[in-house]
This record gives sequence, C-alpha cells and structure tokens, in this order.
Amino acid sequence: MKPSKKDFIAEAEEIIEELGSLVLELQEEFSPETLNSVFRSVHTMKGLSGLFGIKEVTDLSHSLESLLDDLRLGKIEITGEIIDFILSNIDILKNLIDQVAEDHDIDDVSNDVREIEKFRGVAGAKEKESSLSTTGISESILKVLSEYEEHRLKANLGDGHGIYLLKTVFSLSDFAPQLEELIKRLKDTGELIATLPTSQGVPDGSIGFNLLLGASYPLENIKSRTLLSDVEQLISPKLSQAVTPESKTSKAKETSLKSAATTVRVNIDKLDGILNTINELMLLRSALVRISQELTESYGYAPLAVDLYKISQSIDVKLRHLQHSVLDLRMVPFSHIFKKLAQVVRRYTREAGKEINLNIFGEDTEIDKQIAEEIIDPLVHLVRNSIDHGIESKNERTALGKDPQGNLTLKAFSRGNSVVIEIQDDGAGIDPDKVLQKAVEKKIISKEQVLDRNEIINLIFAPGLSTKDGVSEISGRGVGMDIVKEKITSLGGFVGIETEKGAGSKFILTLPITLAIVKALITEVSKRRFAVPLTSIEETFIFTKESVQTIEGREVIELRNEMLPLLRTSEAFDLEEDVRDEYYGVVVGVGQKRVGLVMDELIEQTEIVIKPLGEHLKNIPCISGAAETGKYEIVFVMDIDAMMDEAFSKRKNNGSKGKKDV
Amino acid sequence: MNATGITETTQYLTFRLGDEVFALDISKVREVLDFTSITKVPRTPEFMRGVINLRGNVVPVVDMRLKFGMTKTENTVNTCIIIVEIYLDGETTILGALSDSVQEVIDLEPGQIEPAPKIGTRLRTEFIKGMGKRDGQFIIILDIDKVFSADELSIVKDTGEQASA
Repeated sequence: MKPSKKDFIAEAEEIIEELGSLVLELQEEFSPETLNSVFRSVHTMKGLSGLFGIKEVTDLSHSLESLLDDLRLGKIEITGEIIDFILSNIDILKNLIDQVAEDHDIDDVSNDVREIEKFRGVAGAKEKESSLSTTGISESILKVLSEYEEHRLKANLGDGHGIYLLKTVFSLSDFAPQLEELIKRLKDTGELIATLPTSQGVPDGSIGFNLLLGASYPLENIKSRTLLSDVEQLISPKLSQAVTPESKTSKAKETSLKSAATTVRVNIDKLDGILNTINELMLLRSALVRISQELTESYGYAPLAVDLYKISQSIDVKLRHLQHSVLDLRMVPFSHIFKKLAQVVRRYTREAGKEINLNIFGEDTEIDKQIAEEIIDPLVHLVRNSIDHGIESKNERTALGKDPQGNLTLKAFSRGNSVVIEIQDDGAGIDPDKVLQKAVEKKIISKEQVLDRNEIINLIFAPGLSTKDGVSEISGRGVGMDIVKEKITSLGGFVGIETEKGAGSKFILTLPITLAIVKALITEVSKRRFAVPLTSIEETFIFTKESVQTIEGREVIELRNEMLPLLRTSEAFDLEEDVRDEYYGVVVGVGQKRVGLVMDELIEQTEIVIKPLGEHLKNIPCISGAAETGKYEIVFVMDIDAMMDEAFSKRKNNGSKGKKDV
Repeated sequence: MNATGITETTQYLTFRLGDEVFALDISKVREVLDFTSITKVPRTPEFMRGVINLRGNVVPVVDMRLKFGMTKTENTVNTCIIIVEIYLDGETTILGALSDSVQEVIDLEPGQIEPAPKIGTRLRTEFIKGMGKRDGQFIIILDIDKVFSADELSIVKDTGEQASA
C-alpha cells in the first residue's frame, strides 16, 4: 500500500465515522447545526477523494452533497426515510473505501448516483404541496417570518406536526430570564419556530411574545406541558404520512465494522513529550560516561569501569535509534503539500485566464509535520504570486516570443539537514529598478542610499513595500512577502531569490527537516558559547586579523575572490572582544546574501533541542532560544536571520557601545 | 480586615538580602536550590543574572539585591536560588531569585502584619505587601508578582532605569 493511500483511508474512515454518528444524531433529534456538520463532512470527503483521484467516492459524495444541500436549504424536508437513505449511502461510501484499502476493484456508483437524483426529484416534488398560503395560518404571522423560519414552519408541517401560537406576557423588568426558561421548557415539547414580540393587547410595563411552536401533541397536552393557558391551535397535528420511496436498506451490503486502516493518528505534543524524555535520558547517559571516565582515571581500567562504559555506549546507540524513530514518526512526504498547491495552481490559473504547465519534483521528500503545516500558507502565497504577477498572459508571452504556455516548477529535495523547496516560474521576473523606485516612494530607503542589485531585490521582503497598489507596478511579487519571510525565518529557514528580468524568478526556501532536534555548531565568542544551527551554515574558515579589510566602514574579507561582509559576534552580543591573531569565520546566509560571523573558537558539532527562553526573556535580540549540552551547560542559539539583519542594517557603533556602561 | 489585604494566617519563607529580612508567601515558592552556575544572557540588564537549567527547563535568574538597589549578590556557601512561580499575563511562569541566604518558614497572623510604610525603604512601596514583625525584627513581605512583573523585568537594555536605580 502506498503511503498516500494509507493517509486517504485513515482520513476517509475518520470522516465516515463522524458522518455515521452525526446522521444518527440527526435521526434522534433534528437540528440545523447537525445537518450543516453532515453537509461539511460529505463535502470534505468529496474534496479528499478528489485529491486522491478516487472518482467513485467523489461522484457519490457529490450527489450526496447536493441532496444534503437541498435539505439544508429546505427544498426537501427531513424525514426518517431520508435519514435512512443517507445512512445507506454512507454505508456504500464505506464499502468503496474498504475496496480502496484492500486494492479491490471499486464498485460502479452510477446507479447509486441515479438513486440519489431520483430521490431528490421525488422529495423535491413533495415540497410544492406544502405552500404556506393554503395552510390557514394568518397572513399577519406569515409575513413577518424570516425565510429560515418559514422553512422550519414548512418542515414542521411536512412532518405532520401541529402548529400552535403561544401568547405570553412578561413584565418588562425581567422578561429575558423568564422567556429563556419558557423556551427551555418548550424544547421537550416541540420546535420553537419563531419568537415574535408584540405590543398588542399588552398592559403598560409589560411585553408580549407570540411563540410559534411546532409539535406533535394535541392542544390539551401543549397547554399542560407548557403551563400556558393562552394557546391557539393554528394547525392540528396529524399522523405522519407514510410516503415510502423505494427502500434502499435491503440493497446496502453488510458492512464490516472493522476498520481497514492500520495507521494511528497521534497528537504531535505526545511525540514531543517522548522526544523530551529521550533528550533527558541522553543527558543522563553523558553523566554515565563521565562517571566511567572518572573511575578509569582513578582506578585504572577496572573491569567494572569498563563495563559501565560499554553499557553507556549501548544505551547511547539505542537512544539514538529511539530518537530517530520518533522523529521519523513526525515526517510526512511533500506529496501532501504539492497536492494542495496543485489545486491552488489549477484554481488561480483558471481565474487569471492563463495557461500554465505545472511540474512537480521530489514528492517523496519528507519534512516534519509541524513544518509542513506551517509552510503551506507561505507556499500558496508564493505560487499565487507566480501565477498572478510572474507568468504573463498568453498574448504577452506570444508577443515576447515565449512559449504561450507558462511553466511553474515546484521542487523539493533534501540537502544535508535541510529541505530545499524551489518555486520557479518563467515569467516576467523582478525589475530591480521598479523595486527601488517603489522603495524610495514608500520611504523604505532614502534616495541617497546605494544598494547593490541583490539588496534591491531583497527589498521585496521589506514590510510596507508589498502593498496591494504596489503589485501591478512592481512587475510582480507583491502582497505580504514580508509575511512569507517572517514565517520561514520563524521556522529557522531562509528565503532566497534568483531572478532575471524577462526570464522569470526562482524562490528558494531552505528549511530544517525537523524543529524537534537541530544539528548545530557550538562556537565560542569571548568565552561564551553559542550554537549556530547547521542549516544556516554554508562553510567555516580561519582567517588572520590582518586579512580583514574595511569598505565603507564595513569589515569585509576576501574569500575565494569574493568580498564577504563580516559581523563581529562579540559586538552583536555586546561582549568584550577577545583580541587574538586568528579568528574563525562562519559563513551563514542564502544565495548571494551572506555574512561571515566572527568567532573565537569552533567547539563541536552536536544535536541540540532548542528550548524557548520563556516569557521573561522572549525578546532578546539575536537569540532564538537555549539548548543544553552534555554537562548541563546552557548555550544560546543564534537567531541567524536577526544576525543578518544586524549585519546589513547600518548599526551605529557608538550608540550601542555607550549603553554598555549603564 | 486591615490595610494590607491579608486576612488569613499564612506561611512565609524568609530570606536575607544583606542585613534585611524579606519574606515570600510560601505558596509562591516551588523550591530552593543551592547556587549553581548561571549562564549570562547577552544584551540583558545586569540584574538579570542569566539562566539555569532546571530539569530540562530554561529558567531565568534575577539578582534581587541588584533589583533592590544593593550591590551584586556574592557567591557564598549560603547563597540560594529561590524558584518562584510568577503570575504573568494570565500565565504561571517560573523564575529564580537570588538571595544571600534562606532562613526559615514562619507563620504570620494578619494582626502581625502592618501596611507598607510610605517612606523609609529603598523598595518601591508597591513591591511590599506588608511589614511583619518577629523577635523584634521587621520582615518585609514582598509582592513577588509585582516585583517580577513584565514591566519590571523589561529586558530592553535601553531603558536602563532599573539597572542604574
């Protein structure tokens, strides 16, 4: 069984289960909310099966949905037969899903669909008989009823209920609780169709309510049940007519109650809890190693010390295995995300009246469920932008000598500890001149500022630039790119752009595979330790202090014939610089936006669990959290994106230095 | 009823900062730890001494001496970290408070507690729930939620007010 199918079955069965209980609820007691829930569930089923291309389920769900819609809008009245009919169709749906699960051929549903249509026809025809004007209910009441109330009135008439008008008078001072109590009491008797306030024949200081009640009890019972004397019978109740359209129950096959899915859905918090425990166990293991080492140092290679060491090693292996299994549980393939995106592409392509050829690569690439949930919105955003503003219309493309059909490529692949997602179009690309012009107009940058091409293009992520009116002018990327960037960075990722005016754009999203455990490089600056997530690191190098040059007040270094701006980590954290001859550079960044963080030492590469600093310390600049390493020592995790911003913003050195003495 | 709003006999944990004795409602105290190494968080004011690892949780530690305008807490054998539960923006968070030494747990009846004096302490009046008296010595009962409120712990260094206070 392919994983995608497993997922479909797990979800479909959940819906069927929910549907079953909802319809039963409906059978016991009708409520419009329940009916709406049933409608939504069937709708979800239709969407789900459509996504997985299981046509039979889609078709049947579609018809069922239409039927439910008729019920919802009151075109058809709810009767026991209809409930049975819906239940039998849910059974058919369940059968279909079982067939999918067992890889059997799927039954043809065209007959069932026809049945539903027929039923809709029969039931719909009945509706004409119950026009309200002929019921004998006074025109003065009928004309104040809302459409919904009218529908409920019809529904009650259809069920053969009696319609009663209860006249009540309450004192103005406390009518609200009294009325509420009465309404509660009425629930056991019948359905309250409408509550109509009235002032006719009511003494001063009082308020009257005419309550329209649908109930199956005769007048005397109504009076005794409601404890009201002023009850007018508008329509007397009758026994419900036994209209029996072709019963379907006989046709429905025996449905096995055993569920076919072998998957379990687990709340991600539970997995996090397990990971946390594993992490603590790992720290305990480090303690064991330390004890065995100390034993060896004090007593030589005593057999017990060696045994202890060996055991701690095997515990380590098992723990890592366990950790990876739990991490693996959190992984979902990209196919989920891509399928949703494909739908979006289809929809927007149609709306935009363009022709777009969608290419998808790397559906099997896996990513943490939590991240998958978080990135879907930014991805939809980027895809929409490509369709709306990137890819030109058919005519424009032909005029430009391009293939009239636009190309949109979605690609996901893993690289080391990260997942890279690329969204590429062959549309108009981004015009740096227009971006610059807009940015100056919006006062995001001043006219005097000199920016290189990259810096200009990255301005599209600046908040404020991407306003709606800006969209059409900046040939493309517009609405909320800052939000896209913010979301990706909050997940510990990066957004990069490669674009060529006229040739198209490529957005490159680099994300960690999981948020639970991060591989990081532990570094030391001014005797303090900091962790840098490996996903952010491109390379590391050693340099001497003589090789640092200064350009326009910024420290840079030449690395393979390219100028790399440097950021003194000690300065970013207001630490006293530890002056030395040799430093380590850690190159972080994405695409052409890179910076070298200056470190004193590189300690080790290790796996860390990032913990939040808590309410009190949540807004510390350039720190995204803390992690503990082996010896119960806390290291802070660098917020690389904030560090980059720090590096690229013109930081007034004097200003921050002065505060240190406070 | 009295001016302090304290109406029941409550247990308090007393501790010393310099020569002065302070007290905390015992229900706010989760545990008391020996002094351990505290990791300083960059770009935070001086009274924010750093964070410790408390069974897998990152817990900030505040130097109460600095917070109350005394000199920095020295590390001695008696130095303790009192782990308190703070009610902050509708949520309970944990925080460590450095003290020179932890004394004892005492019972104080409402009658033994007087309202905070308007003058004569270096503490802001709103930090003080009341003044208890025991064996001839005054005990300053702290309103720990106020002392460690978000505003008071504002970690933006630029405001510098608390650090230099």
